[in-house]
Amino acid sequence: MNYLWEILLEAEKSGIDTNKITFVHGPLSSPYMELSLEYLNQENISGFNKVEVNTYYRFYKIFKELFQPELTDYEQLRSSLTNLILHMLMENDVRRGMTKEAYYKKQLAVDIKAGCYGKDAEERYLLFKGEEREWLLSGLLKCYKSGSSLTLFVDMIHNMLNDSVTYHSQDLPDELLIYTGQRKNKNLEMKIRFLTDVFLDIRYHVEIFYEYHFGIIGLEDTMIIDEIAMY
Amino acid sequence: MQNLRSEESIEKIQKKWNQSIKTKAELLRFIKGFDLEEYMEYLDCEITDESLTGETYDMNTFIEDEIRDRRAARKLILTFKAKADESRKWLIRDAASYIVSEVQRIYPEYECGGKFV
Repeated sequence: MNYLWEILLEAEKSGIDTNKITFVHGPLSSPYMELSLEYLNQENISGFNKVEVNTYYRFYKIFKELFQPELTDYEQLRSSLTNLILHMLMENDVRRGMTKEAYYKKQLAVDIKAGCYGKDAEERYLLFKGEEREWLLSGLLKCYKSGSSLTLFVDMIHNMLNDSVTYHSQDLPDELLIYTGQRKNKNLEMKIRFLTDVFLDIRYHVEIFYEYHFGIIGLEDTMIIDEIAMY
Repeated sequence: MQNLRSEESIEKIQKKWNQSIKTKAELLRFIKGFDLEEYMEYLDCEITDESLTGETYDMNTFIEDEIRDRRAARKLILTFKAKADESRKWLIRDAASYIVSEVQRIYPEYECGGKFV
């Protein structure tokens, strides 16, 4: 890690509260790097509450008066001010690379967490973590941009369960069958429920098969006795 | 009672592209957006083929659907739970009818009705 913003990205990835990180002016930091972490090639920050920063690397104009060698007064003030400023600069850094799409996604996330889709959906949304949440919000934005559709729903299901197969019933046009090789558990059930609520039109009815596939005549793999789900 | 809609970001995003999104979650959000929760709580929706007379009336009788045959349409029943206090009780049915009539406008392929539990 070299730059300040990498700390924030790393913290978000590993679920560390950035408020718990304290930035300190590193008097003996490398002139070639902004962060002077303990190890040169350090990739994560778990366990490090104090991060030394070479404040002169990019922000010389801001910090040049704060850490002059003959200055000894107000040490507490100067250090907490440095911490505060660096926190703000770090967040500015991250926002700089923000696209319009990321902004919309953030707003969607805020509203879902505020319960605009109801309490149940709010709880189920929190089951999605990290990467999953990212594609979930992209999908939701796509949904608002182009309308809800079956294709989008199937895409979302495949994103979450990459071993899944989705069938569309020929007899009943409103029925969908989803098969996944995973075992049935509450988390998975809730997540699929969230996806059906948010991405699937109300006219469809979904039947989910966990672990065992239903038998299809002509497909030997699905016709093994004791491993057929009833449908 | 007001007919103002809440101004969440999702509402703005939805209005920006104005696409038809007929999902359960979006229906819930649409109903929640009327902010009439002091009258009743929206519980669930259900699609049936049975002829079921809802407990609400149509507020948009003057809007005629000239394309679809209403008699053939399936029913979309919205379930509410009344929770108004004494002073507002007399308005519950009208508030529900208002919501159902608004939902009817975005779901023209169904015949919408409201039900209390």
